[in-house]
Amino acid sequence: MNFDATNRWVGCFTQPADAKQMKHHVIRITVNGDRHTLAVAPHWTLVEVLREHLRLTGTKHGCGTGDCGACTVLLDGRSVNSCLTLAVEVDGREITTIEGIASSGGELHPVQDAFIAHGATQCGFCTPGMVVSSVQLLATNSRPEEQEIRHALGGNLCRCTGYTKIVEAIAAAATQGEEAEG
Amino acid sequence: MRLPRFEYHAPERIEQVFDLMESLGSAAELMAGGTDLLPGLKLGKRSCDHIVSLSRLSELKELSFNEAKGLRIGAGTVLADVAAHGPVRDRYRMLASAIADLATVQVRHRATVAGNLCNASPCADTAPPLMAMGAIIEISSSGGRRDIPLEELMVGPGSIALEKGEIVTAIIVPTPRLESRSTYIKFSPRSKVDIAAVNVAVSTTTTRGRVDEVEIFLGTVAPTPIRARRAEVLLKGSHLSESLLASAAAAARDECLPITDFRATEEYKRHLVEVLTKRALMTTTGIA
Repeated sequence: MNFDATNRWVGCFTQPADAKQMKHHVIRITVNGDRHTLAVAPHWTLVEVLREHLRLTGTKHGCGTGDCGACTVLLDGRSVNSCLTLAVEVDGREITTIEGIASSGGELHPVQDAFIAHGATQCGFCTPGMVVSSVQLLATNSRPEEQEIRHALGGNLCRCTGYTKIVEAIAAAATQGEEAEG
Repeated sequence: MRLPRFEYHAPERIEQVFDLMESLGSAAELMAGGTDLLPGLKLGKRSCDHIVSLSRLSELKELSFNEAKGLRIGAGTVLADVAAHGPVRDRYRMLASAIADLATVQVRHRATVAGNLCNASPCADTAPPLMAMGAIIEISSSGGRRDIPLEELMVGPGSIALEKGEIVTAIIVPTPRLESRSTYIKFSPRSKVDIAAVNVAVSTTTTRGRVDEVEIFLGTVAPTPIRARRAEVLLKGSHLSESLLASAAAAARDECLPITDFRATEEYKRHLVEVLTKRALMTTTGIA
């Protein structure tokens, strides 16, 4: 079943049938401000738990080996590959996924606005990771040069290869942020 | 891509790590950031029944500097924190720049210096700079502690000189001489994210045009990072000139042992060693 009772997409993977027999660890995590207590198997990665257990399918599962960045989330405010992070390791930590980047009132983050305004998406699969990495970049460097933007996004691959508009969008979001600060 | 199943242990005291590693032996892998171990498990390149995580050992997260003792990097300290550390940026710039070009932002937020070294990849980015700065590896076990030079840690690709039950707990880097100059150059076919085709770290101290001290380490051109001893011998005590640097670079080219892989051929890597060694020496000595 790829849809749950309320007809929400729950992902194309299913956990192995014997998963219930394995020793599970109880973790308490905060995801986009919501607290969850979950029992996880040791080999489950954070991206699997986000997508398949919490149904937060905005975060994409790409290469699974830390190369493509589609699974990028913020862990205590720092971008990480959720495919290379064991769920059991994030006990007690705070996670922000693409679903938590906009304000709780639904107002988009300046980076999201800029991606839309600049048409910085093609197929869209890399976009959640690109946005999270961009938010991370602007949090640490509010006015990045083009080369700094390209370097910071080195861990996010777009196989449509539409990097130009993404870089332009981030530069525009940075400028906007500066104007907003006045 | 899914991980194979394993049991997970996250001790809060270091003694428990020693006990687990001793009792589990080769069935266990020690995990710091996991950015090399987990892809290895997914791809079937590595296997283990148990993972012993260092994540809950706060004592391994130490990152401190003092003039007398140098820099101490706990085995659990992530790369991003090391590169952002004030004393590292001021006094160990070669290390900071090596980390800046290592993997990706996301990986640098999880991976550790100790993990980079203990994976014992011939192309490990932090190895040549740390070796050139005389780094010491602190190894701990239930039996106590011992220190070895970083140069002796790696014995071959993926293989390190640790006994059963021993773990690396810290990297100690002596305070650089104020008058020394260092540089690290990484060359890869892709400019970013990729591992090196060749990497070179050089540190020199000169007085009135004469070379007092010199350390040259080459990565990716032998089973482990290596010291270019013949090049160092040519330089030490000699008067600086462009032809001297050229001879030293040629010696480094001749003493490395590269293999052909998909990044570069053996011949091209030798050529890179010569070019990059000379370029690094020109940078540190100011000889153009």
